[in-house]
Formats: sequence, C-alpha cells, structure tokens
Amino acid sequence: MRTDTPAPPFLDVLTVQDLMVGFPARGPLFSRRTLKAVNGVSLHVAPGETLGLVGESGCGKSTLVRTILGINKPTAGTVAVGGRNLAGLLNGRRRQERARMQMVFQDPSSSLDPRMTVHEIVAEPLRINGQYTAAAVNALLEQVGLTEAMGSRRPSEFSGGQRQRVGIARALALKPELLILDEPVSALDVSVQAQVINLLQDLQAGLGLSYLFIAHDLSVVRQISHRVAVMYMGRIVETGPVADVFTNPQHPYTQALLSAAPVADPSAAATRQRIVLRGDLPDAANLPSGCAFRTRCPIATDACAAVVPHLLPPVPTQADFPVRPAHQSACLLVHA
Amino acid sequence: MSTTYPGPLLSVQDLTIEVAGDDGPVRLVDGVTFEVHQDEVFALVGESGSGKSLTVLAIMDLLPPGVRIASGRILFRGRDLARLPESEMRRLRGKDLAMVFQDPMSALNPLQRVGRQLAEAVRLHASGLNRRQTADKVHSLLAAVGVPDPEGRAASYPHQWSGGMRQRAMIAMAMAHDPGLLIADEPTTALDVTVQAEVMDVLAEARRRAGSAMILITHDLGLVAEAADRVAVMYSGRVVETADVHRLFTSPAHPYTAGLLASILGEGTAGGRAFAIPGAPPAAAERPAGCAFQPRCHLGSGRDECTTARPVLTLLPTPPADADGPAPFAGPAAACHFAGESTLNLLKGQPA
Repeated sequence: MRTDTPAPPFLDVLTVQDLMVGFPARGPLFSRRTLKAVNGVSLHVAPGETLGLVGESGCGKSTLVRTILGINKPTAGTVAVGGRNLAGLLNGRRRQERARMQMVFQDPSSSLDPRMTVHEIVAEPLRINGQYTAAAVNALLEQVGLTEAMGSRRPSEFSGGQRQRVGIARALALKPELLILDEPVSALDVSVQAQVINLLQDLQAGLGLSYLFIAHDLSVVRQISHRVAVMYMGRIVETGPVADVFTNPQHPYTQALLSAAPVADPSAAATRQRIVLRGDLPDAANLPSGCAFRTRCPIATDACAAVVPHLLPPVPTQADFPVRPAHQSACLLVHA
Repeated sequence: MSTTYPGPLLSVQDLTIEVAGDDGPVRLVDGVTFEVHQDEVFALVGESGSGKSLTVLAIMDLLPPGVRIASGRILFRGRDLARLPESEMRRLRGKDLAMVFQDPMSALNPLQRVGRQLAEAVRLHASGLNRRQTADKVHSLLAAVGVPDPEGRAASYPHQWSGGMRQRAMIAMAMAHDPGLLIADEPTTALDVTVQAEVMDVLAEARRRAGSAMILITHDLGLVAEAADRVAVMYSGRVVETADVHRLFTSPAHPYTAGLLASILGEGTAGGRAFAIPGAPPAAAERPAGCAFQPRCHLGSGRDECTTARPVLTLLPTPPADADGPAPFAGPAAACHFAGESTLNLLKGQPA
C-alpha cells in the first residue's frame, strides 16, 4: 500500500465522465443491437497518482483506453485532459492536448520497430514534433536505466525488460503528464517484473507523473497503485484507495477476484477460502437486466435483476469495518 | 488405473538438448535430472528460455525440428523414451503420456467440432469402440471436467467455447485413457484469474480420479504453492534446486530460488520497493563459464569458484525431524557452491 499521498489534486490530469462506447452488433434476424463495451464509466487521475484498473478479458478495459486516447469515439460522455474536454477542440489543438498522455504497451517486442535502432525509436516522437536533439534522446535512455551506447542497437538485441525500458523512454519523450500503461509487465519474467515496477515508481517520484495502470495481475496493481478501479462488463463495480479495496472488498465480484488469486505460500493453500464464480461472462451484446454480474454472483437476489446498481459510498452504519467515503461499490446488497 | 512400476514413474537422467548454432551446437537443456513419482504433482518452474518446456517436449518426443536430444535418458516405467522407436512412442503418447498445452485455441482444430476431436483422441487407443460407445465416452469425459450440456457442446466448434471451457476440453482429451503421467504446460496462463482457479480445480480432480502423476510447468509461484508436492527450479537450461514445496518456499538453498521468492509481490511489499534480481538470464549460447547465475548473484561476487567451476546438483542436509511434511522421495538438492548461505530474510532486508 502506498502511504505517500499525492499532492492535493487542483486539477485532475484525466477526467472521464459517464463514458459510453457502443459498437453495432448483429442480432437475430435483421435486428440491430448495440454492444456496450463501456457502459457509463467515470474516473479521474490526479497529478502524481496511480490509478490501477483491474478487470478480466472482455470487461471493456481496452475499449476504455482506446477511447481515452481518441482511437474510438464515445457514444456519450466526455474525456477531459487537464480539465479540457477533448471533444470540443479543433484537430491541431486536440493533438497537442493528447500529447500530454502517452501509452506504454504490453508487448515491447511487437510495439517497437525491429528495423530501427533504439536511438531512432526514442527519437521518433521528438522528430515529429521538431524537438529532436541527440542529447535529449540520450538523456531519456539514461532516465530509464539504459546507456547512450545501447542506442545504436536494435530491439532484438535486448532482453524483454530492456525493451520495455525503451518503450517507456519513447513514451516519456514528449514530457507527458499521464502514462497509460497497458499490462506493462505481464509479458516479462518474474525476476524482471520488479525491476520495471521499481523504475516506474522512481520515474513517478522524480517527474510527478500520473499513471493509469491496467493489469490483470492483482499483486502488481497493489504494488504500484494509490487507488484502484475494478471493471466488470463495461462498468466500474468498485473503486477506492488500494489498501481499502484489497483488505476490505465490498463488491462480490471484487471479493471473488481477490479470493481466486493464488497465494505463494504452501502452508496457506490448504486453508484458503475461495469464492468460485459460476459460468462464463454474459454476452456483451445482450447484457442481463439489472446488475450485469448477477448471473454469476453467489449472493444475487431477485431484486438484482430489476435495478442497475450505481457506485455509491458506503453506508455509514456498517460498524465492524469502517469503509471510507472514497471507497465506493455498485451492489444493491452492499447498500441494502 | 495404470499398473504400478516399482521404481519412479519417470526418471530423467542427465538430459541434454541441443540445437545447431553458428558456432556449433548450443545446449538449450544442459544435464537435467529429476524424478517424478506415482501420484505426485511435480512442478517445473523457471523463466522463459530456462528449458522447462523443451524438457517436457523431449519426454513427449515432440521436440521442434532441428532440436534434438544429445544425451541422457528418459526412463518412463523403466523404458528409455529417448531411444524408443516412433511407432512405440505413438502407442504411449495420448495413452500413458498425455499433455495439456498453454493455449487451447491453437491446440484445437478450429474447423472441427470439439466432440469429433475428442472422439479421435478416444479412438486412437480404443479402436474397438463403435460410434455410439465413442460418443458416450466423449460426453462422459466432458461431463467429468464440468462442461455443462456435454451433448450439445460436443456438436459445436472451438470458437463457440470460452477460454476456460476450451481448456476443460483439452483436459478431457488428455484424460481420455487415464494417463500414468499428465504434463500440463502453463495450463492457465492464457486464462483470467477466476477461470484459472476453476481450471486448476478441474485438473486436480481429473488427475486424482485417474491416479495420474502430473508435471506442472509454470512461472507462477502462487500456482506452485497451491498445486505442487515437489518442485524443480530451472535456470538457463539447468535444474538449480529441487525440494518438496514446503522446504522450497521456507528455506530456499539456491540464491536464484531465494531471489524469485523475494520478488513475489504482496501485502508486505505494496507501495514500497519490490525486490528485483538484477540483470537478465543469459542466452543459451552466451552462458558464462562456471555458474550461469553468477553475474546476477548476490553470493557469487568476487568468489573464484563461481566463475570457474560449474556447480552440480548436490544433496542438501535435511532439516531435523520435519514430521508434518510429506515424506520426500528424493532429498532436496541445489546446484550452488555456497548453497544455504542465501537466506530469504537476508534478501528481503535489502531491496535492490
């Protein structure tokens, strides 16, 4: 758990408000349905803060990221960077604002051009923006723990961890305020993962960066995040300070997710209580009524089919586990 | 149920696997020795390129073209698989030796109904069954791994199955003839965490029912802790440590094992510094002289043995009266000149 609280947020670096992203999907016999990949998501990232975004495949994480970056168009809702709504800007200006966020991809071997030298890869964003100097590239390489000499080599000559460092250096070239990190360490070996996580934490401390950190590995999210948001079928079902969510999960989906993660302790393995979820994810083009999780939820009742639960702060009367106001969950039964 | 063989079910002895390189053959697996016993789950742990997958592919005689066994023995119930003719091997594969792969989507044929693919696996070693009997067997195999509506599902195609269900189908296929040894290569790596938990349960249950031993290949120490009885840790083509799972997690003897365990993230490390082993594993063609782990090792700096002599897997002194733990079949062993000097606490106290 990170105790160093970020500076008071005067203006969030990223604000996503009621975002909806739908895709046309084919229904039975000429009918048209909409696949709601992102279904009313609101989130914000403060300066110097890491928001961890957790969810399983198909939950809408990737669509959310693509929409924040402007690759997909939202059906409704807004994405604001530094308080400025991107949709209202002219193209040139929008590009400028968007440069304040940069992306680090999961697989550094497919996101780096194998024919370019590392120096050229890191230089590319600088050249496009007319800011290139060799010294600037060397400084970036050094910042991520690589050397000037390594710049003349190609990505294939590097290990996975080093390649991810190159990807981070490229993302830092235009001095962004926010890095969107999509599973940045999941392709790396265990012994190397920690190196990259430590680097990201150092960079954040040194440069005051904000991170939107997407991962399916809960221990990695816990390691690096200040706050965490849990996504299920296009919605955020629980969000709050990382320590609160991990030690006192409110939503049954979060509880199941945390209980399913294997624990590296053979003597604890036998006694562990696991919440097993029934069945598969529902069809995103044909979501269940009410709470989308109810079809797999171990505690769902009839009421869950009738009402869509919204993120709410905790009920103040829950005495044994005081839940802090920032820790919100979207479950009727938690708030019953 | 398979017949019992008095010795270990599987005994891999000094296995070396090579591939042709620019300057002569490169040893991808270099003198690997371990035993797997009846009914146990044996985990093979290591990072990408450590040789764990090649080791089990050699057992199955499924090494990729150009990669060959240079020396060593693979004794399965006393017969050396490395010297078995292909016709004999074909009789064992899918029957006594079965394998579940990491990615069920690429292991299944997308153009064939799942049921038909299972039927093929069933008939391969039970040609006497008629259509009806084969279909019944397929449905019961699917039902046994928790696939709902087996008849209906068997008639559908792999893309209509979710990842977790596909992996269940692969497990059903592997268990078709109650294999003596089941090899699972990263069986849940492609799956989400809630699905992973289910699939591991299905695997354990299927294995117990058939009385199979299992080799579990994984890089996830959490899975090892939950599923394995004994563990071998591989690094750069060699086994560097082997022990029962309790001993390995509580008192690792090899500094690489200790480093791996120290780099596990958890409640204690959250928000602070994570322990990281410096550097990266060497490529197989560029292994340093002496110990391959030496350049990254906190014990090896400035010690001549580590850069000159290759440490061999050596039995470790067993701790006094560890009565609760399962009786170890083979004693714990580590390949380190200074095995035991590396304690977990030492590493945890000094983050990199």
